[in-house]
Amino acid sequence: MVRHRLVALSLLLVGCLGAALILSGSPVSHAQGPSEVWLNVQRGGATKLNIAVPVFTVASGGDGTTGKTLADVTAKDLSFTGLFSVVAGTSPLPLNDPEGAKKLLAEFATAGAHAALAGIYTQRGDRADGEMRLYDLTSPEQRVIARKTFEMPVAQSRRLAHKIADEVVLQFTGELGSADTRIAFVRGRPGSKEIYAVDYDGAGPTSLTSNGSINLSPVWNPDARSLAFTSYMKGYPDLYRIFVDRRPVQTLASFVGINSSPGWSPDGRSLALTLSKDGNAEIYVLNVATGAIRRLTRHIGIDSEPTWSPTGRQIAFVSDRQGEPHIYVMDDEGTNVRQITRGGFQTQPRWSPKGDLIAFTTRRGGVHSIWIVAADGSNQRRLDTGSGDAESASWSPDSRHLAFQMNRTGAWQVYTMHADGSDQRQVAGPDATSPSWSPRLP
Amino acid sequence: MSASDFPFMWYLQTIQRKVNEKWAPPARAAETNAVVVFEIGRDGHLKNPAVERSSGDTLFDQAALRAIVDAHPFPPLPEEFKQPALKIHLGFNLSTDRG
Repeated sequence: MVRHRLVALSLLLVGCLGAALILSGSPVSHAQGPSEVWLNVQRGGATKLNIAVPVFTVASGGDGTTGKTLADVTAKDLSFTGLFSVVAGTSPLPLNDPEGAKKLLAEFATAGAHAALAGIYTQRGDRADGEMRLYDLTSPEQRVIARKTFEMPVAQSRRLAHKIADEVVLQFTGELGSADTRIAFVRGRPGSKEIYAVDYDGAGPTSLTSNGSINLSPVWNPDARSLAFTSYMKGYPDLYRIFVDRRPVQTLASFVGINSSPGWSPDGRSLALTLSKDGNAEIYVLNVATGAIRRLTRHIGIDSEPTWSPTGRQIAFVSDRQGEPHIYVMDDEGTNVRQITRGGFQTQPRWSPKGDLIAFTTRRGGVHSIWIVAADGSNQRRLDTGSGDAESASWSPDSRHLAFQMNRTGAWQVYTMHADGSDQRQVAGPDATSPSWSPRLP
Repeated sequence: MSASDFPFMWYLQTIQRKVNEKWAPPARAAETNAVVVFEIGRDGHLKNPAVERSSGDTLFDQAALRAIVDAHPFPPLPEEFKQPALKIHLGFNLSTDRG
């Protein structure tokens, strides 16, 4: 009896993962102790997990489109991760009819779904709840993988869908997704550039500056509540901080000369930045609370665009000390400087939140493209983003995606893509540049 | 003892998928197999990864071990599974007649 069950489970696994597994008729999971399992992997391509996302149930509040909108947003988030194939568009799971729900889930399983996500939206006053129930459809028991409820102000109820999608990614990968995030960027023409932000998928644009001046290079603080940026609002390129909750703008650095290309330390308390107050562009670290600065580079070449490793122990930056600009890494004391990129004209380094990779921009034959290199300088490679210039990459918090600017359509637009260059989606434009992908929102 | 002690097949598939994504075995002419053993804590963290049965090929063993380390963190253990950790014996099989 037990033996039959084991074989059946093996077959289900074959059905789900195909060539990725080798099972050869033997049990996949035969426990000898109470908590031990035996598994196999065989070399093969990663396969996507099929997940059914029916229209969300609306328990109270919302309008006729709420259930469908939330399911659509969640489905789009899941599909964007590259980990899931989404089967969407059916009517809600009848949660007060267990037999009907079981039947619908069984239909999803028959259609090839490995999992199903049911959402329930409940509005109470100006608060909205989004409950998710994630079901396993790879065995007939239809077990609940996870059940969780999120709460948001009604005005931000779309974020419930993003939070649910991020939780589904956590359940299947061990790491939260990047859907509940914003992308800040610069928009405007020469002479007037303001900073805006949109949801990572392009929804909900808001303006963060409106001073009629030139505002450049926004960078999110790790708390996702504020950004550093360079502005000419007082006539000089000085460094400021804006707060999402519209507190007054804070001046961070206004030394003589250039104050630019800020990069936050992982604890959000310090900024690495480029200053030319001592004559030549050098990299300094500014303690935001005390205003104390310490100089990291001392070289006749131009050193700029610092970006911290997530451990805070290293900083990558651009230097033209060898003639053309290249990417270098140094310890956060300014010591142990080493060049990590070869060839070309390389700028805009951005250290990935996971710490293993650095994205940067290479100019070759007058065309800009985005490249990736391992933090130790190995495995330098170009991302194939197609025709046009691609520049100014910014990592998603899960390091699976990049935001960047591209001019393929004739005007600069901000796009997102997978970190291998595929699945490009336009999120802002025209005349949109310098994206900064926020950490997960508070 | 039966499979129903850990009937959360979706969880095991997730482990297989994550490890498979990170596994970069060295090219080998002959069929090669190794088994790595490790534990997953309640919150999905990796504990005590070790080679349990060597393939006799150090590079292959190390690539298998590295796949586990690179694949973590894993998802939190299923709520219905009440024990503090799950021990997994993961076989790495490289056959020569495919990919």
